[in-house]
Amino acid sequence: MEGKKAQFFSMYLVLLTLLMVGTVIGFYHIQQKNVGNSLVSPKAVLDIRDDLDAFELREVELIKSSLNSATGTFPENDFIDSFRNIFIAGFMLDEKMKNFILDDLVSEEGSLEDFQNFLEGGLYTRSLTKRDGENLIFIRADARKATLLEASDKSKVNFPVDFSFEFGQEYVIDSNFEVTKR
Amino acid sequence: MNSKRGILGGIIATFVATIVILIILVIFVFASGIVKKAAGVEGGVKVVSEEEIGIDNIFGYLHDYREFVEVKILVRQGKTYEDARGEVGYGG
Repeated sequence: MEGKKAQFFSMYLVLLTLLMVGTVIGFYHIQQKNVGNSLVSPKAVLDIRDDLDAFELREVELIKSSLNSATGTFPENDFIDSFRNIFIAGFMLDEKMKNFILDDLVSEEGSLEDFQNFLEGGLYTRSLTKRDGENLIFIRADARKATLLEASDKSKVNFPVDFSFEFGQEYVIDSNFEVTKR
Repeated sequence: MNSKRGILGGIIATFVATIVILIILVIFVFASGIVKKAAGVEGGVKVVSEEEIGIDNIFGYLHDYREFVEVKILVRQGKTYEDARGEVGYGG
């Protein structure tokens, strides 16, 4: 009887070892599932930077074409008013420029109900277009975009990032209608 | 006599069990090495790929950026943005 007890004890040791090995493998698998991370890709930030560059390329083209169509004496007030009217009208027709400005834009409630008014009285307000000696200064006021950047796989450990981006631009226009960024 | 047999049986059973346990542990150690290698663990650290952590789209961006630079060059050479974009095939 005692011999049988010793044999069972040996079997028990083998089973206990198997159980412990199984427990370690089980923990490993559970741990592997919990340590998976998903990061926020920096692509969204790079994209918005490129979109701004593309917007400014279109903006400079629109400034140049508006300058060529404007009437009056450069850089007097009559010329400035004519140039601004043509520029704002051109902006209103360009959906891509409008979409870039409106995407994730932080604005006061109601200020975007009349977009043309937002352009004329906010983003390109008259007081920001002024004479500077023989040159013309044309300023786009600072605007701010804000969004929440999230990881692609939310089932993994992930950390959303609050992203905000402020941008504005000042252009110097000379009498030959050369537009340069300041 | 029976008692001696029982003791001998117990000793043999314990010896066999020890060998089996050793085999199990040796298999466990070697198998864990294989599992680590398969999981890409090097020097105790698992090196994850960009795809695993969800930032592999950055490689697609590099291609787009190259196209955008070509657009910028064409604009500097006097083309309109839309013409340059169409010529390069840039989507932005």
